[in-house]
Amino acid sequence: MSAPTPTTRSGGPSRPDDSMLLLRNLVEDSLDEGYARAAARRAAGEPASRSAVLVLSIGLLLVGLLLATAFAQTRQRAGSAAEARDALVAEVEQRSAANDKAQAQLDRQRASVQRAQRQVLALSGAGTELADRLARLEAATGAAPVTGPGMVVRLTDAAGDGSGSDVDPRTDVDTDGRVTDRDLQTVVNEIWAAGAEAVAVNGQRLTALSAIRSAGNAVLVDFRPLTPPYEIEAVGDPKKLRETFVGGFGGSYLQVLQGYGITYAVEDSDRLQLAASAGVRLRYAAEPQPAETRSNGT
Amino acid sequence: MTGQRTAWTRLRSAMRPHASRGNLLPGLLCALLGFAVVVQVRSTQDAGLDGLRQSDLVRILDDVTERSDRLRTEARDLEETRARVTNGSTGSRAALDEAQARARVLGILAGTLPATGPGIELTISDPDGKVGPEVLLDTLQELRDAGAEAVEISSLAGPAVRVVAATSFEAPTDSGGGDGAGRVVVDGTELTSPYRFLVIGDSRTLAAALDIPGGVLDVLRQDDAQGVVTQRDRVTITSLRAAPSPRYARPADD
Repeated sequence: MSAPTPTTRSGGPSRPDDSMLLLRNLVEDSLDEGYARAAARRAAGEPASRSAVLVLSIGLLLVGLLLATAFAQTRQRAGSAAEARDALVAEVEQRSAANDKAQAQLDRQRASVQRAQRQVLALSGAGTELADRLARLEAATGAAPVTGPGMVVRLTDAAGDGSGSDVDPRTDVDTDGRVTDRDLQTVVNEIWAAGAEAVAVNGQRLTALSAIRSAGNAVLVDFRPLTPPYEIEAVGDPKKLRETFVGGFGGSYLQVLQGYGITYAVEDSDRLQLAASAGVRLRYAAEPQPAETRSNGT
Repeated sequence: MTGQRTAWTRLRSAMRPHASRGNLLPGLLCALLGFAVVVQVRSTQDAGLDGLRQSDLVRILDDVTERSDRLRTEARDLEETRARVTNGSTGSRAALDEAQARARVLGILAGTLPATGPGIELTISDPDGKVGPEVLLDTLQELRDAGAEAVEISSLAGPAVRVVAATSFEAPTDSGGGDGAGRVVVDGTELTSPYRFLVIGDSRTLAAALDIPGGVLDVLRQDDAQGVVTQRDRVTITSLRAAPSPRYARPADD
């Protein structure tokens, strides 16, 4: 790039701000030639070109129309969305209540059928043996209600409205101080690892088919939305359960939760009563025929 | 100095308000824009306070509906069972058949019986050893949520563990072979990467559930691990569990 050759150099004494020629130009000759022409035109009393005014007006009008339409649509959608959401909330609550009632009735019905079944089975030796096996399987899989000593872990969301600043970037959900599905999964995992024989969360018995998931801020167990606080009941050796759970990763995890304002309690219980799960049916898995057993190279 | 003065004069005159009809429209538009921004901010705040979004509510409604379907089906099955079992002449035979059928279903759930059916195979290779027990736990939860009925987890080259209700995932406690990277203890059995899940259930639902944005496969990618899902017409799970013998949980006779 060739060095600029300022005109002031040609004659007269050099100014002290010669090295800042560009700045000087900006301050002294800030108007472009176009501005100068327009100013000259205005000074001559010439009106602005009509077509330019027209284009500008139409353009601005279009922008205004766009904004107005967007605003109207947003407001309309917001109104109908709120209405639809209220209806949805009511529907969910109503069906959940109906489900709970159906579940209770089903539990009674199942108990009476199983009693009748056991009475019939007890008439034969093979039947008695089968009934015993069934009873053990039912207890282990969550297909029948069980009772026994154990441990209760209670998790309560942090006090306040929970509108903190920690937002889970994956779900866009505010998780500060709120027990999440991930928390419940972890705690339940540690309770199983501590030797629990049967576990229920807020009365929902866990089976091999149960998932602990979330939808937004709600935690679902077995497709049933739970309301906090969360109570995890575990049947097993109370002393061993407690020592292993609290002394292991479960205990440290509870401490971490406490740091977020979540409160917890771990208690022994002499006698817990866990309901049966409603969902013990298989639609896809079956026992293979004897010939099939070795067909899948494991 | 004259140049500087004119610059300031110009600036002042530019700043001075001179209302004209031409200013009216932009002014109005600006006011409208401000209003729209305020409305937007307020509606965003409302959604945050109300908690659940509509899409979440729809999903919950789906789940609740599915649960009521399941309850209804089970009630019908129970009624049929009662009718068969309490039938005087064929009751004892029916009760035995019924109990055996139920023992088969529960045996698959308890892992005492092998199982076969449609499903998927998921292999997780974890070259950097970043996949911990929590990732495998999350994977299992996602699979169960998608309707997995029988699951086996194994090391590709090692032992296999049949998954049951009580299955738990732990980090290895010993320090054998380093920091425990690439190893996870499932129900007391140590598995090493690469891992394989054999899953029986609706193969398309299972595969789709793993592949949702932010789902299991995404999480694995973030950990520089790789999950590969293969849908199969038939998956056979042969690893077994010992028959359960609960010591504390007693059947509740109510």
